[in-house]
Amino acid sequence: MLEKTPFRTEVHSTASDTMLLVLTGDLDYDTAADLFTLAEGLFPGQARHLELDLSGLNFVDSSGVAALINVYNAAHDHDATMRIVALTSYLRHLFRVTALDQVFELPAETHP
Amino acid sequence: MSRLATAPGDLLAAGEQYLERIGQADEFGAVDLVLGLLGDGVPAESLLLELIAPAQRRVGELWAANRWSVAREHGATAVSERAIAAIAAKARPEPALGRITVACTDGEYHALPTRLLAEVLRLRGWRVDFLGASVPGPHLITHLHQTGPDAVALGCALPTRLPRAHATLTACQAVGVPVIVGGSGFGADGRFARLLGADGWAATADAAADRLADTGLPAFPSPRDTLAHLSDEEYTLLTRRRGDLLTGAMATLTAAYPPMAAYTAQQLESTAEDLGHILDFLSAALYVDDTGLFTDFIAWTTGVLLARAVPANAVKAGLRIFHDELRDFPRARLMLIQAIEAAHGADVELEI
Amino acid sequence: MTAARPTDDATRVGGESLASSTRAPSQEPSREPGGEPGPELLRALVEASGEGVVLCDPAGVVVMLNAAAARMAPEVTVGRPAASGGAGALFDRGCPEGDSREAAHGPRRLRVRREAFGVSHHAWYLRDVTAESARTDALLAERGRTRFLAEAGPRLSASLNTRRCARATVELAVPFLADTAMVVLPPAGRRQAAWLRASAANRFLEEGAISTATTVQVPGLAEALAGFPPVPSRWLDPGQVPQWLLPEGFGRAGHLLVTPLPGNGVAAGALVLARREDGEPFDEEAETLVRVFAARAGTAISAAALYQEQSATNAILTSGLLPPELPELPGVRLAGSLRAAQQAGLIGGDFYDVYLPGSHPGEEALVVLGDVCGKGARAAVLAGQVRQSLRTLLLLEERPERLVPLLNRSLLASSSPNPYVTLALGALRTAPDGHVRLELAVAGHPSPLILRRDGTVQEVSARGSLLGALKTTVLTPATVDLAPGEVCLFYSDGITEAFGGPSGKEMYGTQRLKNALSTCLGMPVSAVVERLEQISTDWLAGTTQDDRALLAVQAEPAR
Repeated sequence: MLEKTPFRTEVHSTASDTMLLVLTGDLDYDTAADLFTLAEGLFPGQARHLELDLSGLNFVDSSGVAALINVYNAAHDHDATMRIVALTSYLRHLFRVTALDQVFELPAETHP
Repeated sequence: MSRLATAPGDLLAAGEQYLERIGQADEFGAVDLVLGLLGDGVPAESLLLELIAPAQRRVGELWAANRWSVAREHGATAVSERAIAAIAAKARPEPALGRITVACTDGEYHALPTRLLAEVLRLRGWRVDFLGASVPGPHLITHLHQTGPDAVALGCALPTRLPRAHATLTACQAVGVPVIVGGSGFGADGRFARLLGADGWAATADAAADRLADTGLPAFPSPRDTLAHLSDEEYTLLTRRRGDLLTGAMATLTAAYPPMAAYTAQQLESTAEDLGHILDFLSAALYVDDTGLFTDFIAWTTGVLLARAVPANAVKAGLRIFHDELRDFPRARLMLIQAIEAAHGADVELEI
Repeated sequence: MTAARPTDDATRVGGESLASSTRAPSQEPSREPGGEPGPELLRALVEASGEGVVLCDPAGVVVMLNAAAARMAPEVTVGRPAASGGAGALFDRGCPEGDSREAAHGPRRLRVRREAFGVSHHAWYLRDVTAESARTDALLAERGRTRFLAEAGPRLSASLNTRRCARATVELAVPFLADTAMVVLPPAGRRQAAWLRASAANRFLEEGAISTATTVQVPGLAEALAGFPPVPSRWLDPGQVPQWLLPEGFGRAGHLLVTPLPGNGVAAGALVLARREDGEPFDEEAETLVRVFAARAGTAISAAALYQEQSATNAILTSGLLPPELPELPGVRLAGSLRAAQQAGLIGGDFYDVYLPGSHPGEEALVVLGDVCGKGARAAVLAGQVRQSLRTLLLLEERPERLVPLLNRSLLASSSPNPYVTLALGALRTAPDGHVRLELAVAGHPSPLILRRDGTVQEVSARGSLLGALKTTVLTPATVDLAPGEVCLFYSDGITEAFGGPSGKEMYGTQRLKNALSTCLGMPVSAVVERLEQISTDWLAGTTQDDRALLAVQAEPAR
């Protein structure tokens, strides 16, 4: 059977109103719920800006994409912004396929 | 389409015509041909077993000899499926005997021989549920609980599916339904059917139908012994280590066989696939503890690869790498040594 | 053998005492009070023995017998040969001296032993073992019954199918309980009761159905089916048994036993057992055994009936969730495949469907393939809703680029917690030259692939956001023209994101799918789908990860 890389989350406060969320491992059907739960707890606090570092995500399936949308919707519901500050080329491709590149704020591509 | 001048019973000439039509993926031509023969009075069972089955065997040979592409082979098989469906739609006897579930082993996509069996049983008066290619075990067992058939007929064309066929037939027996098996996967003499505890075996569809009608299967299958030779865990460990073994073998082969450096990604992938097949057949041979299974495959695959201009040395190199790698696998090593000889035998002239 | 040993010893002790007292005169001096016993005393001694003693002369004529012998074999008379008058089997002189053997004598079972005294006399010692032997028989019978019930258990509980359970019941009952056994299942709806019958003389199981009205012809059957307690066999008249109850050539039934199969509150059926006229009647012990057996069979059959009922309900509920039969469309060939990761591989979050054009001219057929977030039954229910919504929305709008935003709004209004759906859909229109034009909209889904006549594979440029998550939908539709024989392949990410391959850790990816599709040039569309499914299954090498769906649309090849 296929071994999975465990899904981990880290939350850093980078400024008084900015949170950085670092996700690593596989964000899929089995782990998406962890991100839902985390997202729910983030916004009642001070955060006005949420930054996501997704460069450590190995694999994201449709449930994982759904979880990211949930974070995005949760941010909007609390008048906060969500910005992706780092991601892999695979994720960029995935966001393009799902047209989420036109919804999420993504970093500029580093190479042409 | 004009009516054919073939006399009923003389299926040889019609067989050539049929092969030609399926080879061109000429669905309408092939269906017209079989329905014409049916109309001329050729029995439906003869059309299935004396026209379509031999033509499909020929298709396999033509592919193995690299005379037909894989696309042509699949196209021909798809047309034969249509021809069988057309015959089945015309000849539908009332079910008078019991009920039988016919299925291919999980992972098994060579469904046509099993499909032929299903149709022959239907023609003989059984009520048949044909579940198709690659039937997962839970799906089959659910079906058994829901329909309560008298027997399961399980087809397996490739010996590499035997471990899963074994699991499936044990599961069927555990819910009290006896299993008759068939297909080249169980060996030409059915020896793997006996080893794995099947309640019946038949070499051909009509023999299976005769067997079910004459002696029948036990009403309740009795529990079988486990396979004692599996306690050395060679099968288990080999199956678990498949990925690592292949990655390692590809690296060693690239170092040992200079032309590989120039391979395209796709060529490398098919080499990995070929090595993967060797490991899968080795696993299956360990599972049933039968060296012949492995050496037969190696002789056959060497021939198939020769037809595609892959020298037998490549096969032998792969076998040697696995032999050297599998130090703690005495049973596997013995099989690999004999397989190297088998590859040698299949390729004497190139070996000089 | 071992069971007989203690009684043997007991016989020997009794035998020796008698033998030694008979031989006593020659060995020990006979005294009156306190001395050697006289003939009268010896005679009384023999008379008082519980063991029967018959003393014969060399010709076998009885010269003396004690009271016990007279009781056990009343026909034996002094002055006549012992072996006369029906006692020949008892006093068989071929039997070796000193050996014990058992013989039936009238209602009794006797153990017999012969001892010789010198050349002139011999004596027969008789012991009544009727009771002991009955106890042994009872023990053996009890063992047989225990073994029977032990074997019945696993067979009855193996299947969750009523027919298989009923079959196991009748096959177990013959020949141990009866010469023929029939299970009659409760009438289901149409006033017809199905039955299954096994008989010792017939290798094949027989099956049929009878009307409820017919069941009253069998004594006790209607009562048993209604769940009333069983009636003892002796009250049932086997002469009243109708012909249909017995297998052909069975002859007349001698003994009949009808037992209800108790179920979940209502009877799960009835077990009818019959023995031939020359067979033994059902005694009290047999009836008890049959009741225990019927209780087990009834439990198994009623559990199976419950399962059948639930799976029938389940089948009705899920029938709308299974992939549809693909319709025949003029000028178009369709083929699809769906392999779900859960629910025994039948239903899941991947789906495809084809909507036929209505009666209005110019209406187009619509094909869709999609993927609902999640797995298993929950996902399948949402997939079913999407298919149903599309069917409804198509009444309002059939241009894909307008249909998709409508579907998005309907999903946002849905009560599902995460109604996220990705899909690709295409409206089909056939042109007079055999070409098929596809208007495609893709929402958050892998773009369909096109297999061209020259073997090249193109990815459709259509793009769009996934549905059910965002208020606005972003869509870039595309139009594709398929020449005769060309194929448009819709697929789900379960195909391309499958991990496996030679190393077991690699993602299949779009490029491999494109390569595989290009090898399918010239194949009928059903073969294309089957080949791609097979390659994908091989790639997964026995693992199940995600639902996988394929749907191929081919412009009909030129003939």
